[in-house]
Amino acid sequence: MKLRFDTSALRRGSWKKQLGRFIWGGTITVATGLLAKWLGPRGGGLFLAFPAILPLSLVMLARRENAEVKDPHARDRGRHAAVAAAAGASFAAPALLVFAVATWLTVERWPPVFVWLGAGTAWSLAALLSYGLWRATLR
Amino acid sequence: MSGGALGEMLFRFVVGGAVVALFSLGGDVFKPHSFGGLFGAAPSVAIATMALTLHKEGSRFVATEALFMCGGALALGAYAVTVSWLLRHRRAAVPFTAMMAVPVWFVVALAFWLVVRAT
Repeated sequence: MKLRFDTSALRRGSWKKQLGRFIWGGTITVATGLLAKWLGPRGGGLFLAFPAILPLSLVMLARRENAEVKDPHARDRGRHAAVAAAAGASFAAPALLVFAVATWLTVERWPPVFVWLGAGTAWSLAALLSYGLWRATLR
Repeated sequence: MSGGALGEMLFRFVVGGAVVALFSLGGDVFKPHSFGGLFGAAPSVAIATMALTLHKEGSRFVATEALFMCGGALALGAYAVTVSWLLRHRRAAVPFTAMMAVPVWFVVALAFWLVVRAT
C-alpha cells in the first residue's frame, strides 16, 4: 500500500477527541515530571517511554474504523487497523532508542535547540528507515 | 504546594498536551495505519518533559534521564510487539489487549534497570 496523506481523518475527528488527547498528554507529562522528582533521573527516564499514548491511540483508531462500518460482520476492521498501528509502533520503538541515545550524547555539549532538532531528526530518519526496511521485507 | 510549583505544573500540562496532540494528528493523517502507528511511539512526552527539565535541573540530570529512556524504549518495543501479536492471534477486544500488555513494559524496563545497575 502506498504512503499517503489523508486529511479527511481531520474532518471526521471531533474537537472533543483532540481535547481528550490534549488533557491526556498534559496529564502524562505532569506525571512523568513528578516521577522524575520522586524516583530521580533513572526512574523518571524509564517512564519517558511508558506506553501512555499508544494504548489510547489504538483504542480510538479501532473505534473510529468500526464506526464507519455498516455491516456488523465486518467489525474486524477496527481490530485490523489496530494490529497495523501496533506493528508500526513496534518499528518506531528502535527510533525512540535512537532519540534517547542522540539526546544522551549531545545534551551536555550542544545548545538546547540543536539537541532537540538533532534528536528529533534522528528519530524521524530512524523511524522512516525502520519502517522502509520492514515494508521491503514484506514484498 | 507553592504558587511557583503549581505554575510549573500548569506549564508542563499545557506544553505536554499540545505536543502530544500534535504528534497524535500525525497518526491520523498518514495512511496506511502501520505508518500512522509510528507516531504512537513518537518522543512527544519525552521532548516536552526533557525540554522543561533541562531548564530546571540542568543537562547532567537530562543526560541520565535519556540514558535510562533507552530501557523504556526497548520496553515500549516489546509492548507494541506483544499487542500486535495478541490482537492478531487472540480474539480479545482492543482496549482489553492494550491494557493487559502493559506488564510486559514493566518487566522489560525493570530488567534494563537491573542490568544497568549491576554493570
